[in-house]
Amino acid sequence: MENEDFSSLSKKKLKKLIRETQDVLDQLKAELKMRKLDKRHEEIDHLEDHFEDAAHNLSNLKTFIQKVFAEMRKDK
Amino acid sequence: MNDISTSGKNETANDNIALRIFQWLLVLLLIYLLITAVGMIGSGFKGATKGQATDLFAFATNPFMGLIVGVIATAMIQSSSTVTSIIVGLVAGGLSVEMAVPMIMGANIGTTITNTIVSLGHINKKKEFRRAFAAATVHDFFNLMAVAIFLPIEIIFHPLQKAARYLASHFVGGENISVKGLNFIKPITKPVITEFKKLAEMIYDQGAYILLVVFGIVIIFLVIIFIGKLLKKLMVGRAKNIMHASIGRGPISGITSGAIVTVLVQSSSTTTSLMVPLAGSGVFKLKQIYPFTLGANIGTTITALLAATAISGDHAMVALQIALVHLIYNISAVLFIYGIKNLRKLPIRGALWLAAVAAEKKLYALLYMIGVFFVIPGLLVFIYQLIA
Repeated sequence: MENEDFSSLSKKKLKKLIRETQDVLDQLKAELKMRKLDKRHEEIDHLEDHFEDAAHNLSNLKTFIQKVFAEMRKDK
Repeated sequence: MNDISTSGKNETANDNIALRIFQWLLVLLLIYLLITAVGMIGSGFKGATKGQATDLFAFATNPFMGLIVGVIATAMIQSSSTVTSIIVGLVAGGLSVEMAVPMIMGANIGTTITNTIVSLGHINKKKEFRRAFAAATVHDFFNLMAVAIFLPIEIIFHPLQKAARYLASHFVGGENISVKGLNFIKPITKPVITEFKKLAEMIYDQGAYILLVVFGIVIIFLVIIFIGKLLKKLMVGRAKNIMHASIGRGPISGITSGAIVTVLVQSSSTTTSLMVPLAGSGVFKLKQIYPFTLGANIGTTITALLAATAISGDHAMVALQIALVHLIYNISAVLFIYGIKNLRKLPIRGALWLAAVAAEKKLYALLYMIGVFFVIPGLLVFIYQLIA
């Protein structure tokens, strides 16, 4: 595609090509957006699990402090 | 065979309905206990200080001390709803609204520690931790900024107190008008408060009022924990629907859904903590998490408003005033900081920078947490004591 020579194309053809490419680009963008939104909806469907995760915050703190000390020992 | 399975299904459905009804009745009982406990604090504090509550909190006449009290108390018990309800009770017991305003602002900062701790759960994956920590600390930066802007203005001009007083006067009826409108609460809470007062007198007669305050604080603390757990079970479906509906829409929808979900689960910590794994997985961007978090700030003010309904009589006006200060403050902070493009970006930039630093060296995350929530407030207390 990079090496393609468009110099032989007429202005009209070029405009048509741009339009078509733009359409494909829009469709691809829409598809990407839809997939992202679907993924978000999927995450929301697991809200109960996230509620559970949020409840174990003190064990998170303990693990985190252990990691910090391990990192400090490694740095020495 | 079909009949058996159908009747089995019907029985399960009936059991579920019965369980739901039981859970909702429990929620109502807990709300009643919350209101009663706020009444206990008000009554106990008033009795213990004999109308000299302001003297007892003389150390908090400096607004920065009040702010620090709010930060540390909330960070330690990890519930701004508990702290703000206690503050409402204290105001009803005679603590001045002026002293209570910085405490309310401090509670806003203190509550952000919970989602920051939740984000530490992502420590094993660097990129995930970076995203999760940024999602948690954007709330910290926003609330710190809000205090930095609004506290000095409040100290000089008292706009929050004035606006809240104006609104409260419409609900309660003003200083010189009877507060009969809210007096239906008193008859239903008074018998329980009286029983607790008798119990306190039996345990320690001379310190009965102080004991009554302690009972109130313990009950609020427990009620907030249990009501949170119950509402999570009862409201998870509705919370899902609200969040599904807000996906792909603008920030106003994010703020609104954050506020509604927080009202449903009665806890801003729960709502903001919920956002952390969603951001950690990378499915939600910080830009999408941010408005939802701000909505949580607004939604959480419902608890103090609910607590204020506990107070009737002379202090109903000030109790509602401080609860409304909480609401007006959070709405104003969102309108002002999020409304101005350049200001809006600052919490995001701060959170991204801090998360990048913390992901590289975890010690910085620990130092940040200890520093912001405990050491700096503690040092300020120490310096103030030295000067005083």
